[in-house]
Amino acid sequence: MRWPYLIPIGVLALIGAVLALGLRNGDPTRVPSPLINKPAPAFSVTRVFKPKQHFSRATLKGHVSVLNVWASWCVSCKDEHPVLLALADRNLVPVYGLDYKDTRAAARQWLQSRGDPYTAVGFDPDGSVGLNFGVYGVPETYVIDARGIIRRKFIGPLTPHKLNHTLIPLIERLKAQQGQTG
Amino acid sequence: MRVTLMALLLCVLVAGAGAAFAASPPATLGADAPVHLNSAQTARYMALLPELRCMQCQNESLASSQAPWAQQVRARVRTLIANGESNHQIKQYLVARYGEYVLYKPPFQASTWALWVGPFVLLVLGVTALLIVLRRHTRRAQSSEQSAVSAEALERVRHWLEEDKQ
Repeated sequence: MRWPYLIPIGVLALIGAVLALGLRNGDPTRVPSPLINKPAPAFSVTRVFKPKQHFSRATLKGHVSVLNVWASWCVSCKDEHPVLLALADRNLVPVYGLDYKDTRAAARQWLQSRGDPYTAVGFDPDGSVGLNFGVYGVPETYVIDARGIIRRKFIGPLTPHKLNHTLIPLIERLKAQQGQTG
Repeated sequence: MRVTLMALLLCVLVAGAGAAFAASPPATLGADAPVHLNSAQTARYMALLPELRCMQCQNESLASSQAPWAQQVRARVRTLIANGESNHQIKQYLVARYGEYVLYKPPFQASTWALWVGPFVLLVLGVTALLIVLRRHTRRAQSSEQSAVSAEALERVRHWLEEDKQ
């Protein structure tokens, strides 16, 4: 009757396996969004550069797009910026910006000095559009398909690796789907 | 004098470090305008906040966090209460945007039943194992008492013990 002594070892191995899986899931502070595969929330704001023009959900419809939520006060947005410029250079899809809890002057200056990757930048000074998108830590980046459905959310800065191995393949797949359905 | 200087220097250093890593919006931006709540609404507001998680600093509740996100969401919760939304509606509002993680007390459902039931299952398993082990021990003790020690051996032990005393 030696086998009961194996029980604790088995339990320990099980706990170890669960914890190992937990570690593998990456950063626990990045909580999956409930908005994935749901339509982007309705919004309508003015633009950073052309305050008389609107930037709304209708702007995003009809084509695959990337929506990047950023701010001039956001430190990791600086690290991310070259990646967005590289994405915009590829001319795959429009890259839209949402300037989150920021001032127009600061945002303009930031883009003028670092280069502007955005097709259009919405201005969300009170963060209410961000709240509807479930933003809690800028930068955050959404991939939205041609029907206006959020397909993926990146929390934290995009890296060249994420850009090349996740974001661009996803954009290409979505564009191919869009082509098939017309 | 020196102490004051040191303190000043420390303040400057800390402020500098804060500025270097700052990741928060200008304080004047990013929240609904404050609304007035009556006393019943305030009580509801105060009771609801500890049940909601700050997504930006995840081991703090909305009641305690000073993160900009928490300030914004607190203001939104006040607005929603003032608009007459129920606690349930307010929780649904946040869950729709941030997921169930925003609730400190997860609802009982398919993805969380193990969380709720698990501790009790473990308790029952533990108690059962304990009972089995205890019963086995007593049974072994009883059987060894009955069989092993002869009266002669007991007598010898008693003899030794008495010798010891003297």
